[in-house]
Amino acid sequence: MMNSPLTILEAAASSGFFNFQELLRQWRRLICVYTFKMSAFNQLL
Amino acid sequence: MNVIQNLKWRYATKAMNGQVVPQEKVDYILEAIQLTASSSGLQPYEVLVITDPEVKQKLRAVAWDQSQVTDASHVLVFAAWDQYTEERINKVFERSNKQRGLPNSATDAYRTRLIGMMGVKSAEENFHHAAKQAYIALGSALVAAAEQKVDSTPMEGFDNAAVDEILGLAEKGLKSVIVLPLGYRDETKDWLVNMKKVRTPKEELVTLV
Repeated sequence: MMNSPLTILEAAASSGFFNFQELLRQWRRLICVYTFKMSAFNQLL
Repeated sequence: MNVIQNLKWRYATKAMNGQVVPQEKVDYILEAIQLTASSSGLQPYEVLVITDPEVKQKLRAVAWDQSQVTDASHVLVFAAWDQYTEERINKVFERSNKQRGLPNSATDAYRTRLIGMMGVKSAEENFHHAAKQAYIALGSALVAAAEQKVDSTPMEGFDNAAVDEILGLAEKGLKSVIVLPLGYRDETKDWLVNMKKVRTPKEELVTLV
């Protein structure tokens, strides 16, 4: 069976190679910041 | 917690989880709005509290599809007077005099001067003056919400005319100024929640003269 990129990443993470949750968190953050203008248009910060 | 700690805690929440803000907390925030300062004590605005899901959905559609509008349990819409009129100003002063046991003549000079001052300005100028008063109320609401550990997202990003139409504000002589969803942060979806709060340094913001 072919391993998906996600499965490979999870396997690498479980071996302690890197923190999968942290990677996911950073990825989400990157996506959110990228879409910042649309998701938070003209708010008072 | 004190005001400074509460202000450090608050931020423009980017994702809300749908949890309902208890009514006593909403009432507390509304009371802070009611008690806040305004020019000549006129309080030239009204606050609409939106909880109807259908209305919230309509508002979201004209607010750049910002999710907080529907994920908040309560959406406050600050709507300022579209114009200062003699009738509106008189009503405020008459109420104040009545509750203080004063004759209306006690404030005649001040009231007449105020009406004269506003009367020479355009409706647009008067609306902007009224809108500035609504922003003072917004500031008080933000502080009160933070004290209650209620999250909020003050928004200017919406189609004012469309919001006015949805809420029938023109018929009341009002125009929408700002929208404030109240709810609770969804930490799993909110990218801003763990980011540093960045503000202008005090030495740039404050000048000692």
